[in-house]
Amino acid sequence: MTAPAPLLSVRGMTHTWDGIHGCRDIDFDLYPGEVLCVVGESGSGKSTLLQAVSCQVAPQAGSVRYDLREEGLTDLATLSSARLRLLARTDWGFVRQNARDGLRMQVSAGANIAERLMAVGQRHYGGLREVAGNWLHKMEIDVGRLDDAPASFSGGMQQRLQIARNLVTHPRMVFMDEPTASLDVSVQARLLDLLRQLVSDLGLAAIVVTHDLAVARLLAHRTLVMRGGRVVESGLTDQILDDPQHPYTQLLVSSILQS
Amino acid sequence: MTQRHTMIEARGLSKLFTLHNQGGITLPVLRDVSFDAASGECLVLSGPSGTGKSTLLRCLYGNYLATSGSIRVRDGDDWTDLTRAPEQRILQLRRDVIGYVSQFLRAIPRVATLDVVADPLRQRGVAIAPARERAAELLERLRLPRRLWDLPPATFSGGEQQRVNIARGFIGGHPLLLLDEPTASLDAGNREVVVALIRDAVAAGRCVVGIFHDDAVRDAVATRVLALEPASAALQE
Repeated sequence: MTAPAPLLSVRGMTHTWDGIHGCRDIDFDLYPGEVLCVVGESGSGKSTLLQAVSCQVAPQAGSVRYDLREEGLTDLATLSSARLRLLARTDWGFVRQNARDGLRMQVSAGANIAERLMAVGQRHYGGLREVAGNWLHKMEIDVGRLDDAPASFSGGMQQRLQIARNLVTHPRMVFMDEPTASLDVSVQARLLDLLRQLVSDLGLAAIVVTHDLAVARLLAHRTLVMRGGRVVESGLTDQILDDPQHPYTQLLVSSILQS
Repeated sequence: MTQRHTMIEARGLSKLFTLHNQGGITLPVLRDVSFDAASGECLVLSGPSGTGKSTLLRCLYGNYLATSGSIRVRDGDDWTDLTRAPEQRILQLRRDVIGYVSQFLRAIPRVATLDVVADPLRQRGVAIAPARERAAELLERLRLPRRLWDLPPATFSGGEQQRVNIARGFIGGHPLLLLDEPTASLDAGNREVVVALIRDAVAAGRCVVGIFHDDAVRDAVATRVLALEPASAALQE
């Protein structure tokens, strides 16, 4: 059988902020429809990895190649910034830890969802409104809130709205930075379950940065464990959690409270 | 009767756990285990507690990494060594070839029992209606009360959760089925249902490798027994 082609291929990627802190020599592939979790403690370089892979900062060494619909795997460093921006708002999504950083808080929920559609040329008001309403429904938000500003939403609703805003253009790859960390435990499960369903229904590939191994267990096919800017262990998520090999992974796994 | 063919070949399997945060002590659990298992057979792993039966089963599923040796699994006419296969290949084998029933159900929040059970078929591209229909048949057979089907299994009793887990493990029709004490938390009546399910699976040409502490269950399903010896004892000899 032939192996499928990766959607994203990262080799030797390094980005440090000051020569010390950041991520180094990162190698991994991400396949279509696959969810990859990056776990590690604060300062392990996992957020830097996410920023470098998604071209928010330029890697100082190594390559990030992405499967463009026409050209196939292409080094993102060779793309113009205009091309990258288009890619970022059509083919990618970016879900931030704090929904306030990923939403426009002053405009309506509907406008937040429709923005990416308008950016790719959709102008029909009724059509945009209908799509936005459908997404609110899908995200379990009352459609009657379509014209309300997200500032009036609860934290969990804001996070769900941010996800809808990102997925409305049917991206192929989504980056998520601690998507549940700012939420109360009582609403985390709902968000995780919605994410789990969406990535499976839409065939999304995702890179999810989290310090919560339970998030990895629930969402991720594969997991990378980071420490000190490097990937110290990678594998199938259940293998990483059930039979961790690296001393640091063993420490992380043994620190989980048994429920 | 379909022709029997080998489904899985383990050669020289060893598993050594290294506990880095406990002074680096090592625990040898499996040492040089070799066996074959074929379609239409139920191979029962036996041996006292601590001989590595569950560890062996987990190595065969790939959530434990074998320290040395090989585990070759048949997928149609292809053979793959799980100990060397890329992760994507292992995920594909789990979807299409290797089923696994663990001792406890890992409940997914908010997902209804019927969909928990139907999920392995959905992953293989079966439409939602027929997948749910098949899930309902299995839950019916396992005598899980119908009023529970639309609820998430998180709040169910141990025996109810285990029956959901069994239904989920059997539904995919995987040609290789790994069972880790599937009947441990079941009453006598439900144990009989599970024994019948296993015998049906074997009669249908599936290959079952399992652990059963209950002697009656073991005698009812086993076509062959693999006795495991404690690896640490072997080392001390």
